[in-house]
Amino acid sequence: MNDLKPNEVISLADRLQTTLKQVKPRTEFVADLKRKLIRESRTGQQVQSEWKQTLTWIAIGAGSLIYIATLLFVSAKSAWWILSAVGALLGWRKSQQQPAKQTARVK
Amino acid sequence: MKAPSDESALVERAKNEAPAFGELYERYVTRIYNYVYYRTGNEHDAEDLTARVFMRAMKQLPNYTDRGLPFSAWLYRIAHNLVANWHRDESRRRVVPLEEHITHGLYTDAPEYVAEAREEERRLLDVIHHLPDERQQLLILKFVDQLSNAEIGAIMNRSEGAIKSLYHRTLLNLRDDLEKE
Repeated sequence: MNDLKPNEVISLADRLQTTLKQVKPRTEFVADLKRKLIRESRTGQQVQSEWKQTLTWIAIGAGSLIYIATLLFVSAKSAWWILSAVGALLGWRKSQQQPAKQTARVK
Repeated sequence: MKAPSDESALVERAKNEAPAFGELYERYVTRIYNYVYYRTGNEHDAEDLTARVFMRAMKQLPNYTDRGLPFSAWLYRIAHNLVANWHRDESRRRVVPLEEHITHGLYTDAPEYVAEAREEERRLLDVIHHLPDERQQLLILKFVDQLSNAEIGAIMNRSEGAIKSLYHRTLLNLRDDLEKE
């Protein structure tokens, strides 16, 4: 393969320039497509904002559920601790009273 | 070509505003149309694919991130992928007589001159059509869009030097193919 001579480069570039001319798209096509794109874009944005709204509501709902569940869990846990403490206290008092009764019976 | 900062701002606005996307569209529609036209060889498919390029661009624009390349590079990439799919589908259906479509309607001069010039262009377009994709893209960007090597490099994601050397190899290729014919 021989390298290109300067005049070959110029001649090929000229031929390419003549052949590959810029073509203008049809004016109606350009205008119609623009209208279609803007319409689609607005619909898309509307759908997007509706989606955003739905997602916000889902997030608020899920957040509330988690909050309520946590509250219930904490309350149940606290109640359990209180009951356990009362139970332990009663058990302790009973065990204190038992030796006293036995001592009285022996006397 | 507008300043990149102006373009970046416009692209950012186009993510949320339809008129800004309309402005981007007007800026690039002719270039994308020409690229697709020379790759497909007919007006009908060029219009159809150009519409698809901009529809896809509009849908994917919210995910677009500015990496310092011109916005047109992103559009050309979409166009390139759609044209590649079109060629794949088209080769399954029929062979497109590209040069007949393109040279048709370009001339309004004397019939003898028209016939001769048309034949010359038909040969050249036929040879161009058989070049690898990237070489066809280079020639379209250089001669149809009149872009500099640096601009073509930004679009094709190559250095200016690489584009220069690709152009040289493409011309060699063209000369040899034209001589063979």
